Order: sequence, then C-alpha cells, then structure tokens
Amino acid sequence: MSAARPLETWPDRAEGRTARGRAGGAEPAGGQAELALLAQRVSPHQLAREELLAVPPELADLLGTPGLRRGSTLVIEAAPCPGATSLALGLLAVVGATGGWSAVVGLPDLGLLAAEEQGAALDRLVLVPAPGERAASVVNTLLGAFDLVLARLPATLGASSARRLSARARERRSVLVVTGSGVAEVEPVRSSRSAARWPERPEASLKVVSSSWEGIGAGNGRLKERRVEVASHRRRAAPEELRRELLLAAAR
Amino acid sequence: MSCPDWPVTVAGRAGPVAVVERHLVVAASSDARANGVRPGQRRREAEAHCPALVVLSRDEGGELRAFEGVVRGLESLGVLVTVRQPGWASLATRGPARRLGGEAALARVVAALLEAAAPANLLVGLSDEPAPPGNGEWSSPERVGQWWRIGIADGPFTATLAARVGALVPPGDGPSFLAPFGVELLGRPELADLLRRLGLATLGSFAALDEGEVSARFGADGARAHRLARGLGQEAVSPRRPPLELAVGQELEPPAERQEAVVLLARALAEALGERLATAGLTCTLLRVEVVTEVGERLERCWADEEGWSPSLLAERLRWQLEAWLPAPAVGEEDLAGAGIAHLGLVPLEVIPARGRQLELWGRPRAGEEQVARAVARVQGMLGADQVLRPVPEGGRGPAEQVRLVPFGDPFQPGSRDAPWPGRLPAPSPAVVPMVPHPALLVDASGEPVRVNGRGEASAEPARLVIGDGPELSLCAWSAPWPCEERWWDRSGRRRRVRLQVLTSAGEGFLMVLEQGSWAVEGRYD
Repeated sequence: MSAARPLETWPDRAEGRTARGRAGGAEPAGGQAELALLAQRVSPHQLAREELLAVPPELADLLGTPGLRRGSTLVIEAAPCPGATSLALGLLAVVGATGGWSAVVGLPDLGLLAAEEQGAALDRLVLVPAPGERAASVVNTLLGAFDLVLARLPATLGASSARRLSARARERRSVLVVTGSGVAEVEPVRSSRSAARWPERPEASLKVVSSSWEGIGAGNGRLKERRVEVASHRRRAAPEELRRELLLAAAR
Repeated sequence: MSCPDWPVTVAGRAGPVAVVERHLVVAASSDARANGVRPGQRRREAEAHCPALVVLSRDEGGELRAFEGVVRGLESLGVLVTVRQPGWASLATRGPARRLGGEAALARVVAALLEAAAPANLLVGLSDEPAPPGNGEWSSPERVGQWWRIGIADGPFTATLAARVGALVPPGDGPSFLAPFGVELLGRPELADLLRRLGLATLGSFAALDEGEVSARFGADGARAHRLARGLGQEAVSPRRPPLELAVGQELEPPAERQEAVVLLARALAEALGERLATAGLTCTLLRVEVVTEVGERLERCWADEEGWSPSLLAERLRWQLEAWLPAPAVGEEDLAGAGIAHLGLVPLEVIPARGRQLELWGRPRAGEEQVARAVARVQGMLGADQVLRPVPEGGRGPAEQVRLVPFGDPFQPGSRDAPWPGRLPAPSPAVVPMVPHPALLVDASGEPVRVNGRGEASAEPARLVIGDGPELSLCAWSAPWPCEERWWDRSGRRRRVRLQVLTSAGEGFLMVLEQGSWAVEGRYD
C-alpha cells in the first residue's frame, strides 16, 4: 500500500514535511527541496512517520497524533451540539489535500457542496449512499483501496464484525471514520440515542460540545462563520480527554 | 455481412428513427434516411432535416444481445463466425461455399439465415448491381440503412468494402473492384487528405503507383495502405498465431450460479489477459471467449478489432456478452436461469506488436486509481452498478443542484459553473442536504405561517420551526428572504422560490425553502 501513492501527493508531501518539520527536521531550501522530494519519491522505504496525513494543528491535538494516522479508526458522535457533519467533512478535506481517495458509505444526505468548500476533492470521492444490510461488507471491500472510508453502519452490526473492520483498516492502512446516528441527518438529535457503539477503542472519539454561529441577526445578515468546541477521547495521548476550538465553516 | 443501422433495427420502431451517441447520429432508419438524416450528423441537424424524427440514445449491450441470435444462426453453417461489432460479422467462405455449390449459393443461404434470425423489420438485401463508385455509399437512400448486405471477396479489407455495398467479388477481381472507391476508405485520414491533394482520389489511382516509390515517399504505413489498395490484403501485417500461454481461463468449482460472480470473474480475467499481453508487448486483434456450463454446454464467440481492447473495454464487452448468453434472472430469483458456469476463458487468436501506450513517468500505471476502480467494481457487483456514485460539481443555485451524482464509470459532462447564477447561495453551504426537502412549518409568534410577498418581504418574524412531525424548535435568528426566480422566460419550466436561513435557540442552522406557499427544509448546517 505504501508504494501505491499517486503522483499528486507531491504538493502534499511538502505539507507533510512541514508537519514533520515541527518534529525536529530542518527544511532544505529551493531546488534542494525538490531534490529531497524526488529522493523521497524514489526511496524504497516508507517510514512510519510517513503514514501520517498532515492535518491542522488543532485537529492534530484532538487526534493525539501529529497527523491523521493511516490504519486508525475514528468515531464521530452527533450529540450534544450540532457540527458533527462538518467535522466529518473536515476529515474528507484532509484526505483531499493529500491527493488521496475517500469513500462515503451509508450517508445519502451528506452536503457535497459543503464538502468541496471545506477542501474535499470531489473528483476523488466515491459514494455508496444505500448499502442496506451489506454496509459492513461494502466497507470491508473499500478499505485498502481508499485512503479514508467514512461510514454509518447499521445499528445491528455485531461487535465481532466491528472488530473485523477495525482490523482490516489497520492492516490495509486506511482510515475508517464511523459516525453515530444523527450525523448527516436533517432532524437534529433529540436524546442520547446517538452514541456510536464501537466495541474497540477508537484512535479518537470526537464530539462537538459547543457551537456558535456568527453573522446572522433577527432578519438580517446570514450564517457566515461557525466556531465549535470539540471534545476528544484519545487513545494514544495524555490527558485522555481534550477540548479544542475549531473554525468549521467560514464565508469566502 | 453487415447491417450499418443495426442500432436502429434493435430499437424495433417504425417510422423515422435515429440512434444518437454524444449528440451525433450513429444510425438512422430508412424513413429517416429518406428525409436526409445521415450518420455523423449532429442531432440538431438531423432534427432539422426531419422534424418527426424519434431520437433514441444508444444501448450497446442491447445491440449485442440482439445480435447474438443472428450469430447463432450463422454458426449453423459450421464455420467460425467473427463479430467485429454488433451488426457486423464475418466468416471464412471457402469451406461452406464449396459444400453449397458456389459463393452465390452461399450468399443466398446466409441471406435466408439472416432473414430467419433477425428482427422482423429488417430487410435482407442481396444485390446483383455493380458497386457504386465514390466512397461506397449508395446514392438512393432506401438501399441503405436497415438492410443486411452480404459481400464476399478475397481478404478482410476487400470483403469489408464488398459487404458495405453488397457485392460478390470473384477471386482475383479484388483490385478492379476496389479501383473506383475513394482513398478515405483506407482508414488513414492524413494519408487520404494528402493523396487527394496529389490528385489521387481513388484506390485505383493510388494502386497504380510503383510500390517502391510509395514506400520511399509514404513510409511503411503508406506501403501497407498501398498493399490494401491493390487488394493484397492483410498478409503484409501478418498477425501471428500466439503461443497458447497467453490464454487465460478459470475453472469454477463449484460452478458459479450468480451472474454477478461471473461478471466479476470476467473483469479479473480481462485484466489478467491485458497484463500478459502487455508483458509480451502485444495487442490482441482477434479473441475467442469461451464459456462452459456445468452441464457441459460450450459457448464460444470470436471478436475482432484492429486496435485491440483495453482491459476495461474488454471487461465491458464481456459483461454484455455474458448478459446475452445468460439472461438475467427474474426478479426475486437469485440463480441464473440455466445452468451454472463451470469455466470461463479468453483465448487470443491473433496478436500484433503493441504500438505502445504511454505509461507514467515511473513506468507503472497509477496504482491508486487502479485499486479504486477494482474496489468499486466489486461493490458494483454486490449492489448493482448504479449504487456507486461519484459527485460532479455543476452550475446551479441551491446546494442540491450544484452537485450531481452520476454512477461511477459513466461519462458525464457537467454544465458550466462559471455562468452567473443569480440567487445562488453563498458559502458556507449546509453540511446536510437531503435528497428530497423535508416538509416543515415556519410560524410566527401567534402561530400563523410565515409568508413572503412578491417583493421578498416576510409577512411576520418567524418564531418557531416544526420539521415533519417533530417537536417545535424556537428560533433566535433568521436571515432576510432570498428570492430566486428560475427560468422566468419559460412558461412551463419556471419556478419561483424563496430561501431563508434560520438559527434555532439550540444553535442549529437550517436552510428553509418556500415554494408555492409551503416551507421545506433544504439543508441543515450541521
């Protein structure tokens, strides 16, 4: 899988490099930078740190890893505040920026225009809106070929199937993002029924705990900018729970 | 034998009919031709010639399935039938002609077979007239179109032209038969253009040149064309019999009962064959497809194509062929109607050196895309081809109109995004856009529905929102209404809508749309 990166990853590699730069590497300048990229491109080795997709710093904090780690499983919950769908779209944008492919399974009402505005690449996005009872096997098939699979799985999914999917994502180096019910649905969540049941501990479980819109008043203005506070349960970092503020949607 | 307007024939409709692919006419019925419709015309031009024209879009799978019956009829002659495309088949004549007492007798037998096998609205033409000059098109429109024409001649190129005009060319008469045809028929547009400018408009005048001089002036390809023009046929190209190890096949144990499984396997085999041919630097021009069912029935078909097939194209054609052989099961029935498939094989019969395809800089195709295509194909096998979609951005006003979903693998040209779309919503767009807007109620403080007048002013301040039969949500902020007039110039297609953003006290943003007095939720800013 590691060798199967398309050529478009070049610009992103530059980004990836800055992300790693924070970890201590020095930046080669000018033509040397290009040479370094070329050397990376032809190098037969794939270092563990290259398994990370570059993300904005706040999101990196929430994930507990310097980037979005290939092979990990994330959970996004709809409660208690709105914003979960935009959070999911933000993850599609992370993959879009790296030139990778994403798939969306079982979320027919996802706003694709919003996805594009957030930076997702629609030409490398594939949708399976209505997999029905075969959602798990569809996700299983797509993991590996796609860099990220965003899926809502039926509530009847058993613990062993869920574990198998996580294992498959880990083995095939794809990111699996599981959403609870209420994500990408028109009617807002009313109770705590939305908790995404995932038997294995995910790399991070994200939920929006507060959200505020700017730009709209009583009969004037429009929805322009939204700040949310996201709470994360992280597996690999201390403290386990962390909150960060994010700007999720902004007018252009 | 050929039927140039096979696509129309398959449609099975009377009157002026044309089949259109990408806005160009590919086939026209006799009635349509009588009105001046010709293949290659633009759709609009054809409709201008014949206002009553019924325009159908192309269905290649259906064409191949319908052609299957014709090919089975021809196979009763006991020779190998090669299909170039639906509506065009060829067979070796020497054996059957000797058995039946001459080529004219064979042509009559073939005509009878075609008449028996083909759809009823098809006429079988067997012409005794001499070939018309020019580029081989009949001058009178009723002689073309939905007619079978049978041609017999030495070598595939001459026979192709003979079938085009319906002529039986005696052995050795190839060059004189070819002489009046135009040089365009060599299939080399640049060479034909040059020859025309040199004053050599017909194959005869080109053939009269000295072979050595043609070779010196036009190169190896020109020399090949020169041989064709002289009726010397394909010997110079010399497709070679490939060694057997190029063939790919798969035994199925237990036999596959589901059509999906067979189609999936066909795709894998097409890719395997493509890989083997690529390793050997070859392109396949004649291919045999074999299927053996579990009761031992053997189905075979030969396909010819000068350019060879790409694996994806081959897989597509295999799917159609398998659909023709194995009719899709009735609804509710999972198994194939007949017996299961026990063996599927692809045998290249003729290969030529590949003229090369440009690979990526690093010498291999883009692995990411290939993996994606493979995974998508498997999901399509599970759920059906139209269950895997890709989003294509398009011009439009509402959030749902600006992205269109098309089945993965279908070509689609989106409309322009750069055109002005007055009334388009500005970013950010709602993160949830239901396929169908959810009906809702938007009421003011006294419980009266909020209306918007023709000047875009709301009748009252919206206070509460009820989605479907859900709870009442109280509102804390709302935008001014956004009127949106669409197609105001079109009496039947025009729409007038008003959009409004609202924010509930719980911080939920909704995009409301008012059309004909009722509100609906078009999006949620989740």
